[in-house]
Amino acid sequence: MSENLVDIQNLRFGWPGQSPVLDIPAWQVAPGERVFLQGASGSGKSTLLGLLSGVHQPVSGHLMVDGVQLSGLKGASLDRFRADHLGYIFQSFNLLPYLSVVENVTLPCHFSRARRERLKSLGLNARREGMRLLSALKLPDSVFDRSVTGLSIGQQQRVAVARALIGRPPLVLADEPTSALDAATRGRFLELLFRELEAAQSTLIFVSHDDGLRQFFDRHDSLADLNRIHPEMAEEL
Amino acid sequence: MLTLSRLAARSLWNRRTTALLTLLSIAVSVTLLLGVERVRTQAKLSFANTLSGTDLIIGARTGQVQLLLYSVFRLGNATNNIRWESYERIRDLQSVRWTVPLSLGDSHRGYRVLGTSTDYFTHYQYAGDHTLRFAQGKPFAGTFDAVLGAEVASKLNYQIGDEIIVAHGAGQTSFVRHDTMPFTVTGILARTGTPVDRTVHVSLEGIEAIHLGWEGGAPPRVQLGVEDVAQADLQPQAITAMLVGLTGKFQVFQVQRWVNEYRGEPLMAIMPGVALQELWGLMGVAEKALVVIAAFVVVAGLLGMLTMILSSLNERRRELAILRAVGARPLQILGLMLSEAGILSLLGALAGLLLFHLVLAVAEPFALEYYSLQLQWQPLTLYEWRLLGAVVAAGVLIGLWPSWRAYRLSLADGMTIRV
Ligand SMILES: Nc1ncnc2c1ncn2[C@@H]1O[C@H](COP(=O)(O)OP(=O)(O)OP(=O)(O)O)[C@@H](O)[C@H]1O
Ligand SMILES: [Mg+2]
Repeated sequence: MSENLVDIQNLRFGWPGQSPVLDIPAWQVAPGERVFLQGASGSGKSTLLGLLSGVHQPVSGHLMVDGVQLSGLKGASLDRFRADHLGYIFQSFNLLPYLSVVENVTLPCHFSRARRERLKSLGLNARREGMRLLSALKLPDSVFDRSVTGLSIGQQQRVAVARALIGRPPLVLADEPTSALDAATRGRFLELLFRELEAAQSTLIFVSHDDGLRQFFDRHDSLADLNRIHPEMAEEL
Repeated sequence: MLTLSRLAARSLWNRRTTALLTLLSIAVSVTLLLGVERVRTQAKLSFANTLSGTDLIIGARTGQVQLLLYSVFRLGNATNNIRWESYERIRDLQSVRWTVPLSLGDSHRGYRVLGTSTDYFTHYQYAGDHTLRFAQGKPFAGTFDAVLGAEVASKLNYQIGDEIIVAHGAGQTSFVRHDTMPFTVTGILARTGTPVDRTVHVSLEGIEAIHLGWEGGAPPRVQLGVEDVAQADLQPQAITAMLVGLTGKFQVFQVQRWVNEYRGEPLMAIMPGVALQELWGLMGVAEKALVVIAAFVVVAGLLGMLTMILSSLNERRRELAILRAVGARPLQILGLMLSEAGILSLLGALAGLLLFHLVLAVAEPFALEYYSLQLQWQPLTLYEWRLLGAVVAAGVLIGLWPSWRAYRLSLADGMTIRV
C-alpha cells in the first residue's frame, strides 16, 4: 500500500468513440495536501475528477485512491467507494432544490454506511453534525430548515462544502467551485473551506482554469504538464 | 432516513403542478375504467335478473331472441299468436305447475299494455326469488281494471282510481284509440328494475273487450261502448305468449320437446336463461368495445405520465449528477425514477377510485330512474381490485423506460453535467 492518498501511474482514458483525453504517466497526492490543479477549458479536468471518484473507469493504468485500487473495481464497489471516501463540490447548483438546507448536507449519510459510522464513532448524529458544519461555514441558523432556493450563490457553495465534508471523507474533489463567486466572496469561501478541511483532516484536489486562484494553495499543478495529451489550441477557439 | 421513494416524492412535490395534472389524468382514466366495468357488470346482472322462476317461455315459432324480446322486454311484435286451445292443452299437461298467458299488441302513451291473468302477480319472478309487490292498490278484478308498472305511474303521474285510455298498436302516437272503454287504475306495482316497470297490466278479458267487433285488425264500423261488453262473450281466442312453470327441472326438456313437436300449430318453447344469455351475447361486441376504449384511455393517461417524466429528465440531469456525487448508485437512480412512476400511478389509481365512488354516489339515482340500472355502493370486486393493480403495474412498467434512460444518462454523464 502506498503512503499517498492518490497514486496515478500510466493512467489512460478516452470517451467512447473519441480520441484519448488523458494519458498521465505519474501523479501523486499526499494526505492532507491541498492541490490546485490548473487546466484550460476542455483539457480534461472534470474527466480526471470523474476517474478519481470512480464514476468512470480508466482504459488502462494504475489508479489508487485512499488505498483502494480503482482500476480493478466494478460498478457497485466503485459507488460504495465514492459514497464512503469522497466529497464532491460542483461548480454551481450543487443542491437538490426540493430538500431543505440541512437535508442537502446530510444527504451523503443516506448513501454511505461508513460516513454514518464515522460520525457515530465521534458521538455525532448526521443532523447535528450538518448544523455544526453549516454554522462553522457561517450560515445563519435561520436558513437551516428552509428551502435552498432562497440562498445566495455564495451560501449555496458553502452548503455544498458542508455536504462534501460531512462524515469526514479522506478526499474532497472540487470542480471550479468558486467560478460563480466574486473576488471577495471567493477569498472568504476558500478560507472557510480550508479551515473545515483542516478540522476534518481531509485532502483537497481543486481544479480550475483560473490561474488567479493559485495563490491560495500550497501546491499547484498544471494538467498540461501531467498529461501527455494536449487538446489542439484550434479547438479552444 | 430519506428513502428512495421519499426522495422521489419530494422531487415530485417540487414539480407539483405538472405532477398533479399527470395524476389527475391517470385518475380520470381510472374512474372511467372502473365506471365502464361497473356499468357493464351491473347492466349484465340486471339484464340476467329480468326474469327468473320461469322454466319456459312459449310463443309462435320464431327466433328464440325475438320471442324473448317481445314476451319479456316488450320490444318488437309477435309474428303469430297461440290459439287459446293450444294454451289450454299446455296448461293441462301433467308436468306443468302453472302458466301465465301474455297478450300484447296495445299501448298506452308509449307504454305497452299487457293482457294477462292474476297469476302473473304471483308467478312472475325477477332477480332470483323476488316476486311482484304492490306499492299501492291491488290486482285487477274487473274487466276494465288496470295495474301500472312503477315507471308508468311515476312518469305519467297516475294515482289509484285514475282512468286511462288504451290505444291500438304499439306506437307512441297511435290514431286508433279504444276511447269508449277507459280502464281504471286499481294497483301500482313497486319498482323492479325490469320491463315490468314500463308495462300497463290488464286482464285478458279487458283486451278482448276493447277488441270486440274488430275484424282482421280493422275497427268495428259502429263504436261499441262499455254497455255492449256486458252481454258479450269475453273468452279470449288467442294469446301472444305464455310463461310456464314446471313441476321439476327434469321436465324442462320433455315439455320443450312436446311444444316444439306440437301438431296443432307451429309453437316454440325457450328457456329464459339460455335466451337471455344469447341476447347478451349479441350485445357483447359493444360491451367489449367499451372496455377496450376505457383501457385505451388508461393507456393515454399513463403515456401522459411517461411524457412528463421523460421531458423532466433533461432538466434533472443535474439532480441525477448530484445524487451520483453523494454516492447514489445508478441502480438507485433507476429505483428513484421507478418510484416516481410508481407513486404517480398509485396515487392516480387511488384518486381515480375516490372519484369513481363520488361519481357513483351522484349518478346512482339517475341511473336507476332513467336506465333502471342499479349502481348502489358496494365494495370493489376482486376483479376491480385487479384492474387497479394492473394500472399501477402498467405505470411502473411504463416508468421503466425513463428510468432506464436516467440510468444510462447518469452512467454517461458521471460528474460532468452536460445539457
Ligand atoms: N460525458 C462525456 N461524454 C463524452 N465526452 C465528454 C464527456 N465529458 C467530457 N467530454 C469530453 O472530454 C473532454 C474533456 O472535457 P472535461 O469536461 O473533462 O474538460 P474540463 O477541463 O473540465 O473543461 P471545463 O474547464 O470547460 O470544465 C472534452 O473534449 C469533452 O468534450
Ligand atoms: Mg470541467
